[in-house]
Amino acid sequence: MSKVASAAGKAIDWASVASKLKLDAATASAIANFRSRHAQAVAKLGTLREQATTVDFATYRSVLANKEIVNRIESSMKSFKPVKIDLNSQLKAINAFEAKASEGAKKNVELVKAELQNLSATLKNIEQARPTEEITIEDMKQAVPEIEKIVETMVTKGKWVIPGYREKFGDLSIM
Amino acid sequence: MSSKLFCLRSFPSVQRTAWQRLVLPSTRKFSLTPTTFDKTPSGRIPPDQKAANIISSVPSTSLLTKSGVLTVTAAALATAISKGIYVVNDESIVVASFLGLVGVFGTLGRKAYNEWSDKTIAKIGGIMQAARNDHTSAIRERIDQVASLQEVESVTQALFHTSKETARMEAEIFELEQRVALAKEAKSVLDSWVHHEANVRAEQQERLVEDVLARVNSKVSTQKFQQDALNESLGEIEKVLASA
Repeated sequence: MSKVASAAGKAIDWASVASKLKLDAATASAIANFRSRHAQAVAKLGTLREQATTVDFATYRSVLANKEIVNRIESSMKSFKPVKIDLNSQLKAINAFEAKASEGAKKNVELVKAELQNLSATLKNIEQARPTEEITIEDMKQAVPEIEKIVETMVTKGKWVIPGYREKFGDLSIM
Repeated sequence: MSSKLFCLRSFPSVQRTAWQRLVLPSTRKFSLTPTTFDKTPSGRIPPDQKAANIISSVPSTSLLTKSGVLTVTAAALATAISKGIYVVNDESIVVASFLGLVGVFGTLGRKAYNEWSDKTIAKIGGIMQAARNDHTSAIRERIDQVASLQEVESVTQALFHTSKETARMEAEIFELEQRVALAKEAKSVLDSWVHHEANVRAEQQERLVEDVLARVNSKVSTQKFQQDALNESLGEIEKVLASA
């Protein structure tokens, strides 16, 4: 039961993880394969746990006249040692890889949080700014000092028309 | 200095006026209407209110200064006329008529000009506000995009947890597969032994039955057995006839 609870706590929203983290097609496909492999392992383990791993030797001993064969098979069953996969080395490799991946993920999270802070500050500045009607030319000069230099250059070169201004703001001439 | 020159030379007077209205809309004076017109039912302003309006239109701060300015202006004008510095002639009449006409046209065109000016101000203000709103929307959208990336650390840990769990499961599957296979093989061997012993027992029974039948048949074929059977049959018949 605790394993089930642990799995529930660690449940991944498989359907939306690819779109949420902006993964590319190859990575999304790899995650889908990983998910299917995990699901197959869970299903196969459930199936195998339902099957019997022992034999009712008492029944066979009462039925069979040849008791020796039952004894031999029983002792063979008891002395059987299944071949085991080297799980420790696999877990060690996974842990090493997890350390690197977690480090990369932490860096990404820090970058994301820094960008979120910048965006939030910008949004706050925009929301707290004065209405556009109250902004004066002097304020614009203070905010963007290059405007004054640009204007001086344009006046020196005799340029009186700002590109795109007429199309965007219209013309204040009556005629 | 060059900026002022640029402003003076680049804008016609109408544009300059409109721009100043854009920059400082609160300084508009054409849209101000005297509010005392509605208070007199007969339509004429009382003399004291008229005098107060004249005094308040003088650009100064205190009542004394305003009255002083008016008095000095009137006195200077009277002195100029009396000493011959300023002579009222036909040119003065033309100037007075022109100013009067300008006032009339200003009064007539005030409403239309105010409407046009308000519309222009609203248009440009709307353009700027729309630009600001677009910028806000773009930033909000970017925040929503980036916010979902914050889960990358938890998702990474969950994926690795699942990976370890999968490895353990596969190891257990490998072991269980061997145990299940061994149990199945042992069961099949024992079942085959059970089948074998049943076959042996059936064969023995069959052989015993055949042996018994053979001995019975050989005994039935002998002459002595047949004679004894015949005598016994005749004995039975005689018994039956005697009892009748």
